[in-house]
Amino acid sequence: MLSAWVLAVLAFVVPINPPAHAQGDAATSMPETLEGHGGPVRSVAIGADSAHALTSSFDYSAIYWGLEAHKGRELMRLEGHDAAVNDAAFVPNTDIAVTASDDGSVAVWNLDTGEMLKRFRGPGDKVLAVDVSRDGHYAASAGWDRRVRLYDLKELKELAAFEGHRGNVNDVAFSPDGETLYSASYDGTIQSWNVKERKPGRPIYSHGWGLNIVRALPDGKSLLFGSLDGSAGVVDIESGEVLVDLAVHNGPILSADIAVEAGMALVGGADGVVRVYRMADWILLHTFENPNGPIWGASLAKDGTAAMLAGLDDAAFLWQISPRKAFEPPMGEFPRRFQISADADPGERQFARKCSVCHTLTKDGANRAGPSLYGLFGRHAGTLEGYAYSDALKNSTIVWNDETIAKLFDDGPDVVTPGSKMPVQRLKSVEDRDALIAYLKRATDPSAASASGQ
Amino acid sequence: MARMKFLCDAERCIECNACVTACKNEHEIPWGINRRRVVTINDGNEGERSISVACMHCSDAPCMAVCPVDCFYQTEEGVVLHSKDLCIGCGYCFYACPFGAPQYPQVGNFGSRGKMDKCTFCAGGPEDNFSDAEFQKYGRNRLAEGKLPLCAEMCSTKALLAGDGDVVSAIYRERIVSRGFGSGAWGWGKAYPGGAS
Repeated sequence: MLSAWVLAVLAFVVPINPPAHAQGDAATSMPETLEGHGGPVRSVAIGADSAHALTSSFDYSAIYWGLEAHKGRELMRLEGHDAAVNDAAFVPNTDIAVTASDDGSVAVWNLDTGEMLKRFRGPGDKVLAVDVSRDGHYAASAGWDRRVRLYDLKELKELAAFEGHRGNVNDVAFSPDGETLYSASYDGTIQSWNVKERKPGRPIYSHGWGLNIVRALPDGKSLLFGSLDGSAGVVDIESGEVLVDLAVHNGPILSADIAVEAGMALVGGADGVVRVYRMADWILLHTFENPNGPIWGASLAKDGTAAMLAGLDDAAFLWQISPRKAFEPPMGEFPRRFQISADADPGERQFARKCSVCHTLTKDGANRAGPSLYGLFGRHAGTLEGYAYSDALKNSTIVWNDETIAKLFDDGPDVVTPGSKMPVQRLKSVEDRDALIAYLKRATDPSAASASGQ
Repeated sequence: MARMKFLCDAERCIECNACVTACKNEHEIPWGINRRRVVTINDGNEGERSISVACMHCSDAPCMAVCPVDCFYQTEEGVVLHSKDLCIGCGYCFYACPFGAPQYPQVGNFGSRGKMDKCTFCAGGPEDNFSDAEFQKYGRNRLAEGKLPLCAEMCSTKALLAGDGDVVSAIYRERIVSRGFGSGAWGWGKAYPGGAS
């Protein structure tokens, strides 16, 4: 496969789908959506070349994209994590990416081959965010084991696990010169850490409410922060004073990005509101309200004319900031698959609300976190081709039928299929369980033409 | 039926953390989890305020809207509860909650992510009232015993109020009249917009 660099050059000189109104800016040359994940998208990052992007998802994977007009092209699917992937970051000037997962690990990937070069396993707690220093030498992760971890990407080894926060660490950011690391925690503080000496720095700021976001601003003197109470602002690193109070969101701040060259910063929240500011004076330039809910991930194009946004939907989508273009949400009262009407079949409701986020009923598994349930009854566990099963299921002797499925939901996957990737779930109500099994029997039968289309 | 609500009067909270301790003790909550905590803003500076925070059992609870496995439900009294049998520990509710209420135990074997834990308004969970399973998973069911949440009962300054929303808000209104100002009921408008039930 061609290297990402060559692809980037090719994309520039030989556009495969030249945009109808190409103006040379990101807004008109980026795809409207990045479709390919089989679950909600947790993060999105546009590469420095503006020709590639990385997304990470609940479907246990990250995807490396080629950004071409109208449609993103899936170049590589990064599979190997054992739980939702919360963040993904490019390593500048290389074909390498770093991901962080709910499975407690941080992974380093070759984007050319899709190979996992290294996996740093922590104690098992969620890892929420990663950042990479601008020189590509170091990566850092924010974990719910209350630690900030520092990695050497050249040697592929963990250098330090910084302790000091009194709550989950939600975000990390390198300073522009790469010498200092900043972390934001549920304990309401931002702390600094000395990268070269691998020592704790000092407390920078205490907000009270938990902090979800920290970004080092290009002046090297201030930080952008976002809190679970909906407040966002700019804090002076030296004094710890809040220099700017940004607009308050009606829900936690969940995403932020900075376009250094364009001089713009973006803040997104659980309320679905995205705001873009001019960093020179923190004037609010643009506001966008996502009708489909929270903004879990956001990335500004280098020129600030567009942003890719991610949330509860299975795709990341383009917000064309300038020239402004209206966003048309998907039709229907229940835009997401697990929101269905109350008058649906009881078994179908159970499936839609409790299973469908990870499983499909069709032949195509659609890259969900779990395998397709198509043809489930009579199938040996761990045998569906194309799905990356855990060793526990590969070696299982279970054959799925009424009894074994009932047992799975009576006792839970931790008892029936210990060591599998399936999260522990039990159905306490026999009626719900039996309705679900009856529905699955109908909807997964290959000979039934009435499969629900889930 | 009464609509249960919390109200924290930030003008009265003295950051004693008795509510936090009472909660942990009553429900035998493991290390690393605080269903209730005291947040102090402007610590050491002018305008310092402390607020006792837990799940506010919101009228239109944002956690319920984002849960991919539908593990939340709201009781007739407005208490937002969840089933640990269904929760997959994805953390989406944490990202949605403006009060930072959802907590996750520090465990992480692959495939057995920690189940979310949060304040139950001392109302137990979907298991049978007073059963061992209910206590083990959700803590004591004081509401079923005819009692109110222990955190508020233990509050020495009565900064934290819990109970029928109409009664709680009436008490707070009296305080406003008495002291001449009333900006201290942090989070009330966010959790119960327009006084909705």
